[in-house]
Amino acid sequence: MNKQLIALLVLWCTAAVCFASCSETQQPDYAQVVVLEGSPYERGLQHGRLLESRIRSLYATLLPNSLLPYLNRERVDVASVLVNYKDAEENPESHYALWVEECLAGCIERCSEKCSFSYMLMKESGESMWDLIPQDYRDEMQGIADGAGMPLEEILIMNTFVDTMLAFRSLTVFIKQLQAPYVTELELIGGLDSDGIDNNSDGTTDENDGLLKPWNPTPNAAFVEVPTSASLRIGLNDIKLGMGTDKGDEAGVDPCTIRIQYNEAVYEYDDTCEADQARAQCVDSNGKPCPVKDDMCDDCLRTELIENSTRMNVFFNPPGEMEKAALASFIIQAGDFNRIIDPPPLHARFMRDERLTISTAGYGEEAMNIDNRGFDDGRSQPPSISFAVRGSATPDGETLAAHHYALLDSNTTHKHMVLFVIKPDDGALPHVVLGYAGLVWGFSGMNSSGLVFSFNNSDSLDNPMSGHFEEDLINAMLLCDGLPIGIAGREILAGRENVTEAAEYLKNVKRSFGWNVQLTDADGGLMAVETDTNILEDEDGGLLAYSPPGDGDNSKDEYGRAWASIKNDDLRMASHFRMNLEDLNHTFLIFDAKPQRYWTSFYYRSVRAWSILGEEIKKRYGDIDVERAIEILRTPELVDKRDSMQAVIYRPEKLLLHYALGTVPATDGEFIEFDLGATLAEEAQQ
Amino acid sequence: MKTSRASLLLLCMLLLFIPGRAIADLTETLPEKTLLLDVSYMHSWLSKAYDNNWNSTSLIDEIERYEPGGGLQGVLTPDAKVQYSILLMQLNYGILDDLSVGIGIPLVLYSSVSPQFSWDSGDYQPTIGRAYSEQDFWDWAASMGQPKPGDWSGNKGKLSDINLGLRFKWTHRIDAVREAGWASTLTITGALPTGSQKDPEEITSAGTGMWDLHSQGELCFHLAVDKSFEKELDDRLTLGMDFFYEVFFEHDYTSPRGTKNPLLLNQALYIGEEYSINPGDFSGFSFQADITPYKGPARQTWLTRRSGNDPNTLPPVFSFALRYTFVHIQQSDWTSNSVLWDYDQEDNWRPGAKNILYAQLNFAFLRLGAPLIVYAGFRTLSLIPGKNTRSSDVLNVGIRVPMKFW
Repeated sequence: MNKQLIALLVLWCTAAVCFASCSETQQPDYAQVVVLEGSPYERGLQHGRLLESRIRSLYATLLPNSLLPYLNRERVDVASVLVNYKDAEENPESHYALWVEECLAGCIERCSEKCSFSYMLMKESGESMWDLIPQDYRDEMQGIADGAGMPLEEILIMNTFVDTMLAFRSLTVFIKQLQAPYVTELELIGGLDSDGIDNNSDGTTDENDGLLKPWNPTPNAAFVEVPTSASLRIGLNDIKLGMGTDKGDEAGVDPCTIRIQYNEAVYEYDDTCEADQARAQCVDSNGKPCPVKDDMCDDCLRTELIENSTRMNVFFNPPGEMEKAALASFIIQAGDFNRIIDPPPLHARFMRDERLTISTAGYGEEAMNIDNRGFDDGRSQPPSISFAVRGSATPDGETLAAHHYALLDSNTTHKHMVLFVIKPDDGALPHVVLGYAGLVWGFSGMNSSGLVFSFNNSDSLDNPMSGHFEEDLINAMLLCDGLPIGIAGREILAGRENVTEAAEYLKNVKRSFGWNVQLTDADGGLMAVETDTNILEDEDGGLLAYSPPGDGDNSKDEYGRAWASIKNDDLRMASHFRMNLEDLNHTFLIFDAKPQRYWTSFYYRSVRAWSILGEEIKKRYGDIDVERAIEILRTPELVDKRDSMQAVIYRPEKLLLHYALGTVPATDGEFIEFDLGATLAEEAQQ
Repeated sequence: MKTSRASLLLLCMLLLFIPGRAIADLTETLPEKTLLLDVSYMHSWLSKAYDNNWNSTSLIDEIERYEPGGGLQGVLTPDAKVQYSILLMQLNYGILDDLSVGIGIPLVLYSSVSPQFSWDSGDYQPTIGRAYSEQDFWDWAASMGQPKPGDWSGNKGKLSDINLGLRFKWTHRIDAVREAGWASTLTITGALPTGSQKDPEEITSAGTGMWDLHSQGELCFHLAVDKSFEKELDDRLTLGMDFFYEVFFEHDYTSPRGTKNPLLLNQALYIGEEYSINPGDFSGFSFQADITPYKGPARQTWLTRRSGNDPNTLPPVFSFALRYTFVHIQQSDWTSNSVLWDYDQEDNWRPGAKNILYAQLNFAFLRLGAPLIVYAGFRTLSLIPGKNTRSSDVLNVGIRVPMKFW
């Protein structure tokens, strides 16, 4: 009996163990390789069927769950200028109010998404881009919609939202900046007019050498060889536009919001203080000057209101003097007395962080040779970057093109990555693109001729939405009617074989926004193309291109420096313009639309990333192979740890690529080799 | 024969002797034609879980929130607390001396879930001139259509899954085994799907089914063995082991559509209108010791005079039981239209283990002439770490009333 019992127990345990080893869940692949072939519609159908689940989840988790609600909050600022976007309470006959009314009347489900401001924006903008999209891509999108069982409208939105979002964002950032304090001038006080040095590089010596007026954001040092005992005077102003959310409150810079970061230390007033009655100084509850939250600061920061005006001087005296023969960096920020409640949280209008770099006496470099890199501010993330090398920059002469795109992950995009191999049946060039489920395009790609295309966004007010504002002013519609940059990339890869042809194509399409496009070909051609929409029909056509020195025209700037090269065999880009510095400088009504460097929040972090990228290339010059290129991409100061999307290195001569997808940041993942040449050869044999 | 109403009542209340074994005994069956009514109140509370590395962690992972394109807003750290109160009514019947059946009807008195978020501010945000405070964050979220999840309470008066059970003491008719003090039973229980699923539109809510309670499976097989030391220790000690396998069945659930939480709970858009969960089965074993420190008087009362049984065979006045249970939990499997979402859920329900300690005190008054047993027990998963499971504690108190009808 005992033996029987024991046998039973053993059987039981065995069964339990067997069941216990039932398979543990495995993470599905976040990155997939998908081959699409046939006609555009057929390719779209394959795409939609294969990736139906991921297309739906990317759409749902990125748009209605994240981006659309976020953009909805911007309507109030937009409506303060553009009357078409006022809600029913403000104007029941506005375009937006009528649209919502009609939408809700016919809406059965998902009404809070489908009848929202942001959905309307995406939909209408997508529809206006539709007319410019070549038929092949329309067919492909239709195929995706049919394959995935989703409405074409949603697929169109997925394929155009990047362009729309960036153009829209540029406008809203600009509108906010108009209503915020701004720097009028900056002065370094203390011996600059008697040191015998042209400190501000204006061509004159000891004549207002410490003055930068008007304020001009620059990618280089603003002042050089500055006495270590010098201090700063920052001129700020704030005006009221008298419209929208800027109504009511009086203009003026709130002295208690002044914040200065000097190198890595932050100087700001204690939270318990408030502006005095005159709004000239920040004081504590006893009316005494407010203490600064740094023990080293002994009266290092003070403010002074210029009488009978809203202008303010801020005086900052770096504690303990500046270090000799060194670089010093300052980040300046201030807010006003506005109390904005929509969108929440309650806040004042704050100006963009403005950065300034100077060198102190003995450093010995000219301003144009010092990048306005600054120090890590502890919160900014680097933007997208790209670089290409060839010849003497590499150990074996092989051309490489690298790209790391970062913009928006929202904890979802990285799970929907796809490397598409596209094999047209109409004689167009087969190519690969790195993209996402549901998109007909990617952020970079390469074709069978070894032409490589990649792009970074480069904020510009020279975009279609501004163009509509130029035409219709406050009655303008927010429509981004240019060719989506990703589709332009597909067209380039499908039909061009070298950088010159690719640049020519870009010149002749209506661009949807500001873009930095890097082109590389199998013959070692390297080209950087900075583009905008060219709404004012400038002579440059809205497209400026340059190459490494020695590659022909447009390889050097007015000072004889290479635009973006260390030597003759490299090129790099970030997310700001190097050449297209005056992308837009125009007054719309009462609004001064300034070039990119004056307003975009990408600018300073892009300048910093570009500078660091150059340094990393320089360190490895002559040795840059795939492994070194990966090292460069993985440089911590160049990696956006939150919104990194994809990283890749192309080898156009060998039709190879090494891609890293599916992690955040992308560069944390393994770089996987993909052989486009072998893939196409195999398919051909079959 | 005429019987007065009072006599009938008395008849119903007549008791037969209960064999001298603790009711918590792993191999207990009721004597033939005996009813046992058991009513207990259970209160459970839960605030921790165990992760894949056997470490104690919060029930809900902390959430890092980022401003799109700009810095860390802050970190939401939930310190969720869950409570259940359940009234369990059981009725067991001895068909034969070695075959008993039973039905258990659990009624949830209430459930509550309190997320209790705390907030650690993140980066300085240039757009608002400060780091986000907790209020700032929820104001921001509300502007996107997402309200702050609040406390939830519900399930008042809702049934959990009704259980039916059958126990067969297959060693009962083997004299040698019985005389040696050994016993073994096979128990099969099955749950009827009378419980309710949690509201899919609520972030913090709880269902009442077996899967939600995670205390036992829907079809359970138990093989128990015990040894009582009648001669050696005056029947004051019984040691037992139980081996079990408990099955959970696949169930369908309604996907959330975002009617109350449009940003956090609108998965229907991509996972489909329904999804299914196939929970991981349980398997494992228990060790139990039943100890009788005090048996009490053994004198004739109206109970024993009526039945003619030896008072020594009545349950001891005071006894207690200690039990250790190890449960292996298999991987739970989600199936929807999105493999990505499935994985995100399954990642929280990887194969795991529970280490459960249970102690129960029993006070039986039959020897004193009252047909009543009162007990109190405490079950905890907090003392010995588990893996990929929740760390709950349960306090239960109850009464048992044995009855026999002639």
